[in-house]
Amino acid sequence: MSAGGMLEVDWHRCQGLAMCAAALPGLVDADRWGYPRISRRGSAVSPERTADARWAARSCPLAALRFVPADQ
Amino acid sequence: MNNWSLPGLEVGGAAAGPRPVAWDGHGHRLLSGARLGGAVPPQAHLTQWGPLPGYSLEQLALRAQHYALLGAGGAAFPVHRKLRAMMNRRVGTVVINGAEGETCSGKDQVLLRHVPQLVLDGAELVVRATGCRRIVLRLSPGPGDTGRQMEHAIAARNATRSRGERLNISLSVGPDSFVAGEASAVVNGLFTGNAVPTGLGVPPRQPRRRAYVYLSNVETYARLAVAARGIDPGSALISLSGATQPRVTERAPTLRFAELLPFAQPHDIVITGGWHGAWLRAARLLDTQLTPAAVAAHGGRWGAGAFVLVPSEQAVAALIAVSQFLAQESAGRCGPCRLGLPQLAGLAARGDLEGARALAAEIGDRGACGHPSATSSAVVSALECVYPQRLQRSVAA
Repeated sequence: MSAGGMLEVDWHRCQGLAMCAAALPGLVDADRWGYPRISRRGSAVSPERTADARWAARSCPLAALRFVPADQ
Repeated sequence: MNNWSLPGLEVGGAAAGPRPVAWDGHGHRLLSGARLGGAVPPQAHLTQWGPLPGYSLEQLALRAQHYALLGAGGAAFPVHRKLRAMMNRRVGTVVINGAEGETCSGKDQVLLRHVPQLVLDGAELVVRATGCRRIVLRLSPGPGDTGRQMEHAIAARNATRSRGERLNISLSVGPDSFVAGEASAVVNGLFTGNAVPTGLGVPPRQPRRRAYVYLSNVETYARLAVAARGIDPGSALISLSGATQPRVTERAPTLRFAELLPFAQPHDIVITGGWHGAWLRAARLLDTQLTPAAVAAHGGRWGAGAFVLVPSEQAVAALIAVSQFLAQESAGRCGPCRLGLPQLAGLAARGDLEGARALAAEIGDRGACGHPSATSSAVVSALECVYPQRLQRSVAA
């Protein structure tokens, strides 16, 4: 059983393509420029949404989104 | 007030003002043994402060905790926590951060020029406690010849030591930009040559090596050196600029701002805590004591102790200049900062408080460093201070 984790953005890589927001609406939300509304310290993901978060992270073509599991 | 300018910023076509890097001779604690015009030599320093105690990391952390020592670079992080984070870890480099990116702050330059041995004491305490062998002093290319003076100070200190007890310390000069003094930008500048903020792991590590980096501000090391000797390191070390003689002064924390700014009118504005700070009408600040808590209680911010006096009739010009400056100083690496801050400066120029608030919320606390969020709150605070009638209207609505 996963313990959830954090979604983190590599802000130097992110170009505001909003693919993450398109892949997982409700989990990741894009701002007016297309950048994810994820704070500097990351955004917490509940255990139930861990698989979704991994999927969102994989959806980024620039590898700018990262899921960090809590149990690491 | 005709002789008015913002340090490092052009206002309404006028030239940028000088940085406050001159000391006015008032020394309450750190600068108490110093004299105008030169550095305290090692022997006089030793006579005043006594020998440097040799402390373990835990002993040093306890001293810092006893005096509730906070980092003096602006973020006010507790020093004892930073020290304890190095417990049982290999520290590769101790960094003295003297890259004052804040153009309205000059206190670190003043400490380096007048009491370099006290600053070096602080770094040596950390070196001894962590077993690290290397110190780097990071400077900005700013005015004066602080670098050359520090070379002399280091040589003079090491001349009094036997070979095995000399400090291994090197100087490094970074770019002259606002964000280059940010901790992660300094670490990146030192180890990759590219001084842009990326955010730090906590505690930070040297890129491509496993060793940790202990980084702290110049003033923080000086206060640690005082605390380690069992003396309360508390004092108010303040940089003043704007519509006043640009200067650095060190006073008792029980003093009030009115004594530092005797010519301030109630409707003038004081920018508290530097360009990332909060704007207050002087009336709210003048009767306030010189402590971070007292300033915060009046809605201000201490930051790195930089305070800028703006005459009330220049408030709008200052608001435009500061918000444009902060937008230009974005390293341009993170989208919300690169795109958001110029828009925010545009809203500030139009006096659009509601729009600026909405945009500040949109920018949020995102990006690799604190520049975008700190700039957002500073610009909103400036608008609220400059246009109080709009604030009241929005509260009424």
